[in-house]
Amino acid sequence: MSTSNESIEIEPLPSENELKKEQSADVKTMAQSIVENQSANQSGMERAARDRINSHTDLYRSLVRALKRRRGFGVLFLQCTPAKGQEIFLQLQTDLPQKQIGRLTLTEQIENLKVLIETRADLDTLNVLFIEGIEHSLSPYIESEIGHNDYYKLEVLPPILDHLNLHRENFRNQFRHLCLVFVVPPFALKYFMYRAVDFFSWHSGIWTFSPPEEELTKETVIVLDVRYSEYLALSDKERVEKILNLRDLTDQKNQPDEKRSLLLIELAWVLCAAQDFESALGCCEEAISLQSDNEDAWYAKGVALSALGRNEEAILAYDATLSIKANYHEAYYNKGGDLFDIGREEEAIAAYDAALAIKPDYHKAHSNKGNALSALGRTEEAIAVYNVALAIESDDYETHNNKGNALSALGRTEEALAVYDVAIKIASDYHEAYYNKGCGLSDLGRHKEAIAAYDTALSIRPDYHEAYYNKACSYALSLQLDNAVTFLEKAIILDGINKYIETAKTDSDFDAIRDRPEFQSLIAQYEQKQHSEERSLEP
Amino acid sequence: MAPDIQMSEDELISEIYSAFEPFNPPPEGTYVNCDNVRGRWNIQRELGNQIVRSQQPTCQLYSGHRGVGKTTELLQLRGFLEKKGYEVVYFEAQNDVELQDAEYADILLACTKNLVQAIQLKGDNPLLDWMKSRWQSLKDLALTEVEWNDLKLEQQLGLFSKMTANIRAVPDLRRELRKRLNDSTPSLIAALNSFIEQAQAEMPAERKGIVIIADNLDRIAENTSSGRSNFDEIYLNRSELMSGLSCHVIYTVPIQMIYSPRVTRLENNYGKPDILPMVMVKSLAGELNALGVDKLKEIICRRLHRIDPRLVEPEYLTNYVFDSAETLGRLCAMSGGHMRVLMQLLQKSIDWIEELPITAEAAQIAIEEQRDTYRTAIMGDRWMLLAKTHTSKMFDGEETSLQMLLNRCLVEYRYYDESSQLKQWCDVHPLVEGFDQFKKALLKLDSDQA
Repeated sequence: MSTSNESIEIEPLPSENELKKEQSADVKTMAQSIVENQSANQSGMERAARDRINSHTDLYRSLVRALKRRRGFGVLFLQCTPAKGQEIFLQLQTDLPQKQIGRLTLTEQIENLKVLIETRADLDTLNVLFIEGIEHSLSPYIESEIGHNDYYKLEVLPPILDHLNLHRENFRNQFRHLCLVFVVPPFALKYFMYRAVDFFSWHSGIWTFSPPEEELTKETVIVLDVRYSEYLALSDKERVEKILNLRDLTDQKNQPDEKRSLLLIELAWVLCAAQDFESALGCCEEAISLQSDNEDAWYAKGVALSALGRNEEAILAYDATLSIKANYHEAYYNKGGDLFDIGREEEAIAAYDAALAIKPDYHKAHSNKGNALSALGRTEEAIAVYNVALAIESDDYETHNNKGNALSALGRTEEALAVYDVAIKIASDYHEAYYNKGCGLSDLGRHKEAIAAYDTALSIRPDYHEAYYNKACSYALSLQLDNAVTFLEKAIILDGINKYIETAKTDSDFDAIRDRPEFQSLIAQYEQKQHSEERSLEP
Repeated sequence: MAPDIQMSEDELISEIYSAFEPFNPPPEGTYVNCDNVRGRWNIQRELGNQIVRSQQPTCQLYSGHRGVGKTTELLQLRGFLEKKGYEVVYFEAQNDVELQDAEYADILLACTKNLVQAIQLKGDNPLLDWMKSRWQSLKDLALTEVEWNDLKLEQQLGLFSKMTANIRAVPDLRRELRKRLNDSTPSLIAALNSFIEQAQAEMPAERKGIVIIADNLDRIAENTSSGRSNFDEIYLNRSELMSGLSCHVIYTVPIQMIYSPRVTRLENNYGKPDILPMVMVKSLAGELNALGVDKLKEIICRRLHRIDPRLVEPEYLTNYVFDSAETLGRLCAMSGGHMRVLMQLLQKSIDWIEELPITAEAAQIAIEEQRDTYRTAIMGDRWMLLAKTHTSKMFDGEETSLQMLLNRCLVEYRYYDESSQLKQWCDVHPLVEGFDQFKKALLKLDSDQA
């Protein structure tokens, strides 16, 4: 069965399709840069490869293979939340019984990792060692400096990175039998990349288990609420006119700098609304060069950088905003999102708390704080925080959904089901909640109801292949061979990249029907098809 | 069809996987000479011959990018020199020097320690005499209360190791020792040189002398906290002492030094430092360079051959190990001629197959994953710079470009053109070329120029 779908409230940004609507000839050039389709020139093979990397199931299997085949020393990185790291560690205990897997959990700063490993009583018996919490030895060295772009390039070098860099040969020579697996958040991985280059370059792989897509598309609060929604509603032609108009005003020679920078910020928001964040960023930088203490310019710069995924720089821009205007709670909120993205959940929580100290009824801040707590595995606290958010805004169905997932994670499935129902009552077309409800019901062995829930999700979103796959699992578990095979095939076809063949081969949900010829022939048929496709794709 | 090999397929995959560890030099017998695709760069000619041909002790600097095969080449050189009759003392500096806080005195002491450890003198040991005459002042640095005369000979010899070990572990001692050593550097060098001369005199006539190779010094972290750079202090201000030993010495040097304006001073003091270039997998015109790709294939084949010779037979190599010749070639080309990246791509491809062969799909996934690493390494504002270099094929020497070169987003190649002129050129790594941001930057560069 696939895992549950989480989501965070998303600001209604225009979809690519909407933007791609008919363009009149005169706006075509302008609009082209706006709507450039990132994946247009990706070949089918590249896309298929990316899909495999993004599938947690496939990625995990490649990790299992890497650990199984490794004979001795090695350096591996797992980029994920601490909670996911724990989950993988526990799963590996079951899936790799032939390997002794130990765990070293660091809760505070260290300077010498070698000595900690050397002195382990179980050192000789171990094959693999998970090292968690190395980020605590790095975060004290991150000091944001206003306007400073080099987040990881400050003069100070965290001693632990120096230690790893200089002693990499000693790690190899002394721990010939041991594979080191570093569980790191994104910022720590970057820190390794930039500042412990020699050690890092010895790695045999980085496995990135990113949180589900929905969670990443965090909402960015836009301060100019009203105007921004107007900008979103502009047609392409109107947008281009607006841009040209603002440009003209900005370029007027007698325009005072102060006015000019306001216009540039305005322009930045128009461009943000059109999802042209690169150009928006350029406007913000221009505005800042004219008026370096304009908090709105820094804030808009932060928003553009967040949207471009340049999280560290965004954080610095929000810090600059806050140094000019300390009660800019939106800046704290957005900063929290960026910190969350690079895996600094504790600091994200602190940022949400700061936003909440200014605006206590900020329910989105509560809700996102809950997500950060979940990522840290602090599930009970997360639930408490979701409850606070819901007390303020009881209609927030996405928070209900996330609360449901937190309850499921604690095994409180019955309660979770009730919570999904609340979400569904608020938003009757919220397919994720039906899907998650289906997962919960099958956990309880209530396959018939689970199938009904998946069906509802599918009636809302007919291409929901995860739902088809889980539906097939439920049929398999209720020993309805024909239906199981039918819907598994449906999932495989809709998904289009054959990942479910691999998954189904080992998914214990299919154990009861695995030996049946119908199941076998389905798998064989698609394996063969996959094989011939691979052949024909070769250049 | 699988060749008939005396191990299970699981074991075989493990063997193949282990043959490509990114942290190990090539397994015995698998070294491949890549001179002709590295602009005829040959460690024997660049460094070895200077030693062989010179009557006087030489002192040379050696550098290169991470993971291109620096240590592999040094170990080749060691073998070459040993065959020629030299006594080679090779050591990895991190074992004797605290590299994040290294000064000249530490390097001198490390050379001393490794010499004493490697070479037994028959006659009086001038270094022990030196130590004895300073025993009262050095005693506490070796952390012992024992009187000199109470120590046995091997204990006395061991004191140098004990001292380097103590100094590495205790920063306070390091400072203190440096102070005392700095005062008596001339006498230590004199003692060291008598040691070397005596050792060379004691050697049989057919032996040729001593060569010290100090590897991994290029990992010294630059430290400017005292107002001066420790790089300058070691390599420039102390160059007379560094090159003042009575035997041949090769020091590795941080690559940042070579790419900084200081390189002219380095050249004046030591002669031109040698940099190991990448294997040229593409031509200046951007086409695949079959010679370079074939070299990388040979590296792979040698390692497979060592597991079982049949694996590299045509019917198995691109049928049983790899699903096609294209897959093998593509992995080689996408490495950019960088050995360690090639190893990582191979291991990653193997991670994505349940059984052999390594498929085109698995190779593509490995490439995409490696791309993710490069993407993270490229800061948001660097795309234009990469596009510019890609267009000009020139390294502009700017600080940011240097960073890109050091993290291998930019790579340098060299070759001899038709008129036997050495050409050096620079380009983005092949993995970078596929990025949308890069393509956009190229378009923008085009329109800016038009």
